[in-house]
Amino acid sequence: MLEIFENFQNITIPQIIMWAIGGVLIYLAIKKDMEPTLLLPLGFGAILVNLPLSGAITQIHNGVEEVGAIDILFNAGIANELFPLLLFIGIGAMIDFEPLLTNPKLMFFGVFAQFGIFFTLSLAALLGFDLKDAASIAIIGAADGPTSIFVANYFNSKYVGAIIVAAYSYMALVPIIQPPVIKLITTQKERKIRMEYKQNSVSKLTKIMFPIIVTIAAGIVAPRSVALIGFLMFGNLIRECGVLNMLSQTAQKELANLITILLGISVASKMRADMFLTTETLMILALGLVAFIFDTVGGVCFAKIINLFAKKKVNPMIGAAGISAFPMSSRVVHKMGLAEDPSNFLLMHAAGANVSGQIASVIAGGLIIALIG
Amino acid sequence: MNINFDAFLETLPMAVTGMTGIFTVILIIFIVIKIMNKAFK
Repeated sequence: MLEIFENFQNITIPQIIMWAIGGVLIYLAIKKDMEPTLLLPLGFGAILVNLPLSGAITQIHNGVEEVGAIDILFNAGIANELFPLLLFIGIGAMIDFEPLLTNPKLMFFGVFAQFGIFFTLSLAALLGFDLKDAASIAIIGAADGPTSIFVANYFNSKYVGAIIVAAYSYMALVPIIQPPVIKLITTQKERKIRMEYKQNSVSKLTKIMFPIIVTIAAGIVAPRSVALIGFLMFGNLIRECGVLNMLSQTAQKELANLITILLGISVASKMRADMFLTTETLMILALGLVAFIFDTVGGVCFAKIINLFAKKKVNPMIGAAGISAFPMSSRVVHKMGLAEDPSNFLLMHAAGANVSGQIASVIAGGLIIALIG
Repeated sequence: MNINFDAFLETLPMAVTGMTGIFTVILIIFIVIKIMNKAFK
């Protein structure tokens, strides 16, 4: 009878703290609708792996190693980067690049809104993080969950759990993080700038050629990004080719959903109390926030520089939409534009910059791997 | 917390190369899209 209660004495305070953290993640997912597809499995997984002698993770019982299911999933799908890549096929199939193809100038906002990644890389290195860990932390600024998982795992960072929590939490918090930063570095006059939108049609051939060209261009300049960008663009090609509608639907729904379920709970294997409850975790959360802030600053400042020379002024808030968090960032910019002037519609411009951010963040991930790996 | 100024300096050229790399890829894509938009109206 006593054997039933024997495991109670194995419960530790750090494990209880991790249950609480798991509970908070589940609460944020359900009550606040913050990235529920990932934070809920992650929160539940955090509880699962922090139960004493949890059979979900690898344990040694009487000198014999018993491999846990979550560790098997982690090794099968994350340690070899398979899950993030498969998820990219689904994401690629979901993205409509038309706003970008209509107005390709918007692509450059995606470039400068990656500034936070490189700013954070330098800052994390300055704060004493090993270069590979600094790169893994910096990629939180990609505002792109699968890229963060891919890069952090590529560098075998021991902070994968904290990095993923930070990346997905801040993506969900874009509507809270970006507006004060944008307001701080723009004037009301700038926020009221109107931008003309011309609805140009884009040929089907251009839409089909786009993913192929992006893959070739990224592959030549940043060969290490080919897996990331290639899978993203493969998904988009399935969407745009017009003859694989069933596959496109499957990639957007079943594939993306299945991988998301497994991704969240697998990442939780890195949320064991001994790995997660460290001062470094707090620093990673702070650095992730810095990355998002400086992404926004980079995009807005680029737009302001453009305005020094351009005849047709750009609303600098569009620059802030150049991060990868789609569609949150473009919605934030659109709403801020409407708040300043109820007849100023910035959504299509912001959406173009936003999808450009998705491409640029993936290229940034590949370049970070190439530069530091 | 160990302030590592040498590591910080080491990352600066990487940051410049990284931003330049993204810019280069996007510039190539931009030029090709411009050409395609004109060619396949």
